[in-house]
Amino acid sequence: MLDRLITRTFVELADTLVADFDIIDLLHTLTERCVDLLEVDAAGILLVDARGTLSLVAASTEQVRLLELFQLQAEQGPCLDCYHSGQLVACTDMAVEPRRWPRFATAARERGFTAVHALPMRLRERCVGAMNLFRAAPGDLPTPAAEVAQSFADVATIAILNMRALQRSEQIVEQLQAALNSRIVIEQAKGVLAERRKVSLAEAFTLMRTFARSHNRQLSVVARAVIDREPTVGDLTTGHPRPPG
Amino acid sequence: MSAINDLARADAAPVAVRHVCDACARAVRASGVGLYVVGDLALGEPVYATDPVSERVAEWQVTLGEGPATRALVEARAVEAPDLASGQAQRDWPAFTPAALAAGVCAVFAFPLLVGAITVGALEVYRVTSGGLSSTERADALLFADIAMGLILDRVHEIPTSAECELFACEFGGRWVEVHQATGMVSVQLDTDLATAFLRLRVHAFLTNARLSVVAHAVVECRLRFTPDTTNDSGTEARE
Repeated sequence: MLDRLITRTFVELADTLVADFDIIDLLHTLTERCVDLLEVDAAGILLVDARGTLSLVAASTEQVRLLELFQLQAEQGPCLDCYHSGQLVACTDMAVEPRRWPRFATAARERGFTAVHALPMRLRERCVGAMNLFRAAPGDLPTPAAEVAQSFADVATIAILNMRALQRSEQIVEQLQAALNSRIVIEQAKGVLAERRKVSLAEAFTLMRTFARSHNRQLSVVARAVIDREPTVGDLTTGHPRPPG
Repeated sequence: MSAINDLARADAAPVAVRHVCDACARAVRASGVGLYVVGDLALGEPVYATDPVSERVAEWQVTLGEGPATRALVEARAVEAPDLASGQAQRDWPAFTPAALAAGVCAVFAFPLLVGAITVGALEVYRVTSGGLSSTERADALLFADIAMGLILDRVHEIPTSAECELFACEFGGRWVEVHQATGMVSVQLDTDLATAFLRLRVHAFLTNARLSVVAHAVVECRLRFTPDTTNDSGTEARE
């Protein structure tokens, strides 16, 4: 049964590469699966954003949520070390090694956690965050569990990087389409206006620019409105100024 | 690629699509190369051609609304026609193929400019002899398509400004604005939408065996007007 759940977790992670999905939801599920499958008591995930700021995106319990937030605030802790180094950071008993992260160790113990296993979420040179596993009792994470955990982290990392790359390229494409489109729309609108007002194309362009400036609107927006015969540019297309009031 | 940079330096200009197309033509042993950018109304808009023959062929493709680059744009994949005299090409593009052959072009290869899953244009390679591309030539063409796409992306935020002229710098790009202006004018003359107006312009070019850019120029200079004619079967009358 556990094997099936492990397999299902991988399948769900991989699914995100081909279909629309909610990444935060996925990461929440991942923290819960870690607790179910890996003999840990709590899990949390920290991710870095486009500006390089690390933040908590998922936690399996309120206690671990507070603990992760504490780490971020105190700027001290195994998960931060893990993210910055890109390496696995583990502590089997924080009571025995309090000097590593003195304030964090105290806060962890207060919330009932003694051992921590922080796994880097990394693809080659890029580290996007850390997946952190916590246990109440001291002790090492068994190797099979550690391997599964790192695999979860690896696949989740790929899914996150893929989603971000897609978002960036979608943004770029939108920008490009808008830019290419607006130049066409402006030319078409010049033609429409020139014909309507019986003026030259150059005059039509001047009329549009003047209108755009005096109404504080973008030229491409005005051009679009001319083409769509919107009433808002009525006095531009007819040349009859609207009566005041 | 160094070949592109050399051309740009010789021009004392920033790298523009014409340098990419010229270098591509040389690398893949083409008689000419044309570049389209996705335009309005799901058709490509020719922005550059390395020579007059390529220019004419690219323009015919847009006029007729069919051809390898048009298909590459729509289907987001490379389209290769190593022998336009073959039955396949005739079936695929019954109007474009004879026009291209008449211009002396025997083989055409089109590569989409892709950003992720979106096509923003196409690079079209023309040859006056039939025959396929070698795998090296194909790889090179794909690389040039990538470079052209990267160039357009890089400069996109500068459009519409004078930087666009640098990017698309050439006669073609300058003249094609008249096609858009003419579309606008004709839409008012026929009291119809832009898509229909554009279609009427293209039909007129086809029926009179004239270049679309020339028809557009005539409209813009008010030497050619379109009027709705309800007594005429075709629905419009164009008076010069």
